[in-house]
Amino acid sequence: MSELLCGWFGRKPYVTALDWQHMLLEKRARQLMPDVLLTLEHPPTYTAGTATKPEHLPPVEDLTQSGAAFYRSGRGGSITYHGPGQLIGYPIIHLSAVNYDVHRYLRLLEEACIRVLAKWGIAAHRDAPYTGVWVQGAKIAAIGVRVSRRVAMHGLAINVHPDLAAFERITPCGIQGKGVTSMANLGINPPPLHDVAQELCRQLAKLSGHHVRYDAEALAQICTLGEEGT
Amino acid sequence: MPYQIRMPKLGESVVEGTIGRWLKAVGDQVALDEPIVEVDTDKVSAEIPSPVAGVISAILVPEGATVSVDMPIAEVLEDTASASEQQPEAQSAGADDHADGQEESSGEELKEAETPKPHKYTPAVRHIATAAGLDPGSIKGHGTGGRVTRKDVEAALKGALPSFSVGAPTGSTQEDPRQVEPQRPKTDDAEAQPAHAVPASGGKMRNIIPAEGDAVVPVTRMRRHIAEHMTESKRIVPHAWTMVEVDVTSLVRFRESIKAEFAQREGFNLTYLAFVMKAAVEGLREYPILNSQWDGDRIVIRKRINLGIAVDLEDGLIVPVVKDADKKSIVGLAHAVHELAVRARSGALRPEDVEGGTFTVNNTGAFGSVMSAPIINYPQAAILSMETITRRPVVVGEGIAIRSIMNLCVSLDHRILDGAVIGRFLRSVKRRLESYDETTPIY
Repeated sequence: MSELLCGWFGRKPYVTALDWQHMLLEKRARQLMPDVLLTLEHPPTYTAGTATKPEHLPPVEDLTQSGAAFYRSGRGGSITYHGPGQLIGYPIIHLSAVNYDVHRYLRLLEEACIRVLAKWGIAAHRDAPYTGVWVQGAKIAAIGVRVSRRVAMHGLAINVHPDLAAFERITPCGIQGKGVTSMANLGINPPPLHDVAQELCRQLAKLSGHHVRYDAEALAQICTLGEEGT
Repeated sequence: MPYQIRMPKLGESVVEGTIGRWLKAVGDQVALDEPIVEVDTDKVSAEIPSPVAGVISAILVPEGATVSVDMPIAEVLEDTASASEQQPEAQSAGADDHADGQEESSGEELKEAETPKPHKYTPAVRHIATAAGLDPGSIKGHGTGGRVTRKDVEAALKGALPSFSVGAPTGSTQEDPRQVEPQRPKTDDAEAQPAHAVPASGGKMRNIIPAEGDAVVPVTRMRRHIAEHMTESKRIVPHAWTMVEVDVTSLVRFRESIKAEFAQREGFNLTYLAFVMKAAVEGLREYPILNSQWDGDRIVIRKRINLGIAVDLEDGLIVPVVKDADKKSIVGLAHAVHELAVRARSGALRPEDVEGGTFTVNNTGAFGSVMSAPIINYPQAAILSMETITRRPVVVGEGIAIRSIMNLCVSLDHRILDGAVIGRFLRSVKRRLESYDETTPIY
């Protein structure tokens, strides 16, 4: 069984994580390392995916006046918010793990989120045709993926206890008439992000047929040095 | 018969996809497995690799359009030299795993946009090239209209010109030791390659064996683009350089006096860049020959003045263009620059934002530089850099005064321009900048 190399990196700027992902994707595409899952949180950041419709994009100044960053992102999907209290999972996974089926990959990410939330007693579910994970009609986990050279990057975001007001400036994921929620908002005493991260690593590895290996140091080394294959 | 690229089936339940962005245009060379288009489906944006190598001959579906799986989206005229040997698989592009085909892909990808289309060489040249084991179609031509000449072939053989690839790519099933661990050059690497092999366009020309502790950073798409563009300009254009000192004391006083109010009213800071742009544009109107391009046996003097402004980004730089800069006031120019810079830094520039520049202004002074020799933004004829303003003792009449001085530097295409016209242009820009004060209309 192949391994899923996982690590928790705390708070990292969006661009740093993006650089890391590109670096890892390059290595993964060349078969120089195993599948990877980066877990972290971002400082307040709005990102607009490739499917962002102009009407869902408020003036950039409105988004950045609170000090948040704004980036156009190459991931699929529309606009969303990332910030402290939200767990980010960036799996760099070769799509051979899902038989090159991107929908199957999206469903896998959803399932991982659902199982993670179940551990804290939250009954989350899918809401077809909308990708993502929902509780009582509100989104609790968002998903957006980019595929390059048959390797997936970007990934998922689980709202543990982010500032939900930050979502009010946008139409999250371009879906009108649906709210956003979080574990804290549902009355759960929010667990530390790295606990949720660890559970995510476990579940994603299980679902994709990997065994999990935690080694943030090894991952950081790959990311920052850009050398050292496995 | 062109090869038809179809909308790939990205998943069992995927029935359609939206064309997000074409990464290639008609006429572009495309390598096997090189991404040609981004397709959006649901929450996934996927780069679609080309199943064949060749030249894009048609794009059938515009950006933003949604089409069903298996609909033709583009046509590629296959490279005849490689088509027979590569045997590209006819399956949909997303479905097969060419992990070890990537190397040849990135090799081909490095061909510059100006790579001549097939058959831009005479039979005689083809003969010399093939006799030497080279693919004439892959040599960069420097003859009329990009034609490959005998000289080009000879230069290629000597390895003097880096931008060509050699022979037909090896089949993807073949074991190639370089592809197993491409990050670690081996000492016997030379033996692993055919004797005449010269790496393509810089990217694969690795001569350095990293020592322990060295960081090795992959070249990003932007870095690659900058590298190619700069190298091309330096190779083609005979650069000359000149500089003047400008006394901007009154401009500094003026700007200081309106700075706070401007920031409050307009929401951003008024920088000296807008003033320099204004003065440069008026100088260009006076000396239109600077707003021109060399074109073989003629010089094209552009009527529109579109100013490129270099904007530094975290991992490089980009030069968005202020269109019709001569029709804008100083505040109008400031707004245009501010907007482009914000868009550039958030990655939101549109293709038209970076096209059509006729002259470039570079604010090198932003980092404290007092003198710089910029590389011309080819095919433009000149580039102006504004340097940081320093307070200096200056001889005024028979005395010495403390004045604010800004250096302006120009690199020029000496095929088009001579020192005299640049001197007059700079004198004009200098006079204008030295005249800016409280009475200058900025709206």
